[in-house]
Amino acid sequence: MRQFALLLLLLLLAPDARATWSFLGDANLFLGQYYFDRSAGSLNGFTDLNFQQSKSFSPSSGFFISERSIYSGFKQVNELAGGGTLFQQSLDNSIGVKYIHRFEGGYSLKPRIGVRNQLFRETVDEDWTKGLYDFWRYETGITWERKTRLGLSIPWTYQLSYDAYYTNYTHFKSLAAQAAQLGAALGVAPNPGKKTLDTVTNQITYRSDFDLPGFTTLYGMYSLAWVTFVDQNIVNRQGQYLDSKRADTFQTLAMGVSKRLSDFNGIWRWDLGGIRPVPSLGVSVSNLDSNQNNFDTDPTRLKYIGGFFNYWETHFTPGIDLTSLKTQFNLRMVYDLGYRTFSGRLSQEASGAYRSDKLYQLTHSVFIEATYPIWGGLAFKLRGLWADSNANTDFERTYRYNFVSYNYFAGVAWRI
Amino acid sequence: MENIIRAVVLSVVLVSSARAIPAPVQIQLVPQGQVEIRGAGGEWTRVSGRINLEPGQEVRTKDASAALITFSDGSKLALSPNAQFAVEKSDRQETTLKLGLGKLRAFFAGYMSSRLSVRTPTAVAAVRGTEFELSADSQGQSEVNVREGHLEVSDNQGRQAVVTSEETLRVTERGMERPQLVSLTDERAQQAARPLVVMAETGKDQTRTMVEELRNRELKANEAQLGKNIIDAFGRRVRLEEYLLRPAPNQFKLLFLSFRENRFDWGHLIETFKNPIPNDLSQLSSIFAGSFFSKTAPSNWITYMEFFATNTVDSIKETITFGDPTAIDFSGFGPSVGTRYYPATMDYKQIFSGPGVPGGTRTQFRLQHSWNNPNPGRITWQQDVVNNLGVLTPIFQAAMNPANAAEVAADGIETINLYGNPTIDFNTVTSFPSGKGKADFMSKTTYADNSWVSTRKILVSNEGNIFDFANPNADAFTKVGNYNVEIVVGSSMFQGRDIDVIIAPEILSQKKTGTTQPDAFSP
Repeated sequence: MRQFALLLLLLLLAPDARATWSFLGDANLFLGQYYFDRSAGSLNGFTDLNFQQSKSFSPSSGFFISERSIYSGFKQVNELAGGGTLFQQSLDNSIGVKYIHRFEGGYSLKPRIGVRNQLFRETVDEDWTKGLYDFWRYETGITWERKTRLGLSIPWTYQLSYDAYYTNYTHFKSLAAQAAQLGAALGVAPNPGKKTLDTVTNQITYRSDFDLPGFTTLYGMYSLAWVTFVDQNIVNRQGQYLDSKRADTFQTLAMGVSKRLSDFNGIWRWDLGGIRPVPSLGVSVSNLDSNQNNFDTDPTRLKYIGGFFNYWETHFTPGIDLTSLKTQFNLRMVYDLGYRTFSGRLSQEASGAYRSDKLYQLTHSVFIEATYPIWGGLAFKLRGLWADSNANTDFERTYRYNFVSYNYFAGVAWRI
Repeated sequence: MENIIRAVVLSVVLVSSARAIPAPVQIQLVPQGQVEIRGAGGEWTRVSGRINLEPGQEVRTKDASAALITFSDGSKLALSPNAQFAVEKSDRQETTLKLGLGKLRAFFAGYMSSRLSVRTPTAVAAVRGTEFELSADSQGQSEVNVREGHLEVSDNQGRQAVVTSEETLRVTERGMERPQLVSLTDERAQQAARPLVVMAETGKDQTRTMVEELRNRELKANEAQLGKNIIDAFGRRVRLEEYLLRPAPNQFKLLFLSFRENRFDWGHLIETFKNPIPNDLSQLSSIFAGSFFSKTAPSNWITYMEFFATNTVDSIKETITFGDPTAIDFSGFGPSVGTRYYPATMDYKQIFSGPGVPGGTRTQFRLQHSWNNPNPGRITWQQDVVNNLGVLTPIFQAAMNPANAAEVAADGIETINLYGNPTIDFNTVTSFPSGKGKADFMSKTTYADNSWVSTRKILVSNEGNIFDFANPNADAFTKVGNYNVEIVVGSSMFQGRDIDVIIAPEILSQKKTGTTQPDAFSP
């Protein structure tokens, strides 16, 4: 927290700080409930605060600070699989500064720095700031951008970015490292590494954005990340830990398109007062490739699986956004179909026995959000999410690959 | 799922079959100086105050005069001196304006903005939420300057271009030129860190960092996938790690560590074999199985097993020593069983250690099986427990000829039986601490010297839920394999502490196999 305070203080005390600041932001406050299979979680809250302050020195240069703070009394859907109805609260704070320098001809250079802190309370015996998975992430990056055109008609902005992240899990150490302090009592001690989740990531990203005629926008992005685990040793076929460290590459290719269709005013005899439809479609493919393996230590299995973490994943995400021109009521619906196939990980029987099939997981989710403006930038919001996951494995002692979950939120959103 | 897909498809179909209902958009004129209007083909009339503009009406401004045109969604448009302007069409579907001559500056942000287009003699500009300037001169040349946002401009040659922030475009009677970015020194250049740029940059940064975020989030899921992070039956987080070690070529050691806030429990399972074991340890289960009741002489077999658990102060150790497999006639179990290879001896001990244990360490319980010794041609098994003086003493002994069906049916011939003797007999009480129907079983044994040992075994899910035998929706026993076993060992010798470990059920099953008495074996 001290890093946040110091950074904010330095920026606010900068000369002429109050002269030409612009402010942007939004705040979301929700109450809701979450269900995992047949179990309901308690009624809980979710808040999301976003603020940006910008200052320009000239058309050539300027900077902005952005802060984000999220409190969640819910487990997010992407984390559901790990723990069912596990009680969870999280607090996510981040702050970043980005400097923009523009050159003639549409070129820009945009360096940035930022820091992020995430805190978790996941069990009844875990206090704030003592969470096992609390982490700090320090990040820096630079983006080179060119604004140009594709032919006569289409504006084209492309960016090449380099980002570096250092993630430090404050409290997480391998138990083996802690147990090593027991010395002779433990006997021969394994050495998987100590801070096994800490990573340094170097990421390069290429992104293109196009504005096509006919109120159509299109983007494409490719990102390649090299992830070094600073202290996670490789396990070999005999279950022994080597001195070499884990290293992953993670790449993602994503594309998205949206188009504003013609407004319509009614459906058959039902006058809706003018509706603007904007359908969209997103497609992505990602791949994780790791040199880490896994050795299943259950005595009846004792199975070595090379490339245990490697997978390919694709997503197909159509959506539609409908806005009432009369009332500004907005309805957004997004369906996501995801398919992940593991390259090395095997499917298992309920008993844990391994099958010869590689593990795959198919997920569907539907997200619906309705927004009704109340006054000024204030709006009432309803959100719901339904997700279903199916996998070809039946062994779920420690992780749920097969589940249905849904949640709903109701609350207000305020935009500056 | 099919229903949801159908619903999405249906909504798209409904959109396409929608019908348009015309409705007026309110447009008002606010004159500044000498401003005139006229209807279609009518006379120019000077306007002095705010009036509504209707489709078909034209506006013109004179020297040193201007006009502000406002729209019902808050959008605004300013006309320069000597400009000619008209509202050509305005309904719910579309609003079309015309700039015949002069210059206008527009700021469109509301919902109607993107249903609006402005025509000049040579260009049509469709608005997409934009601040822009548009001019038309008497030679038919138009110029568009977009300060912020997007415009879709069409020329009279059928060409179309999207013009974005800080771009300028000239359109003549010969058509449009290529849009140009304004120079950073141009007065039309915008500030570098203006709100729209900040919003766009923030969004793109979040997309990029989301890739790192997703990857990082995956690490946490991996911990769960590998069974390293679960909740125990008391709602506490338990971190688990298991390691396989190879202290000797014929031995492996499974080390299990469990950590909760303020306590650390750990233990190990050691298995030693007669001969070196293969690197592919998945073959071990067949070697283990071959040690008991094999029809043929095994080439390798288990000789020693040790289960150890501790809270770092107190500990419980169970050891089993196996003799070499010997051919024994088990036909008393049935004519088809015949001769099988079975360990010549088995010696199981339950040993407690800790500051509260008399002498620091003592064996509380022992079970031995032995072929041919001391009874030739028989398996003798003997149970020892601590007596009232705390000394390990035989309480039961029996012998059985496994080839003799009558002896098998009688569970052997008893040679020692001191059950009921108060100087040595022990008392075991069982209970269900979480209530009947819950897989939470506790067994407490009190020995003749008043020492006691309790073992609580709980089937608990990774979310900390105790398996519910009574709940028909829990898929009953088919999912038992998806539960962890939490074992809480307490003892009068542990001075109020306990040992609380969560282990894979497979460890229990192997231990049980090693300690089951021969009469319970099913060939």
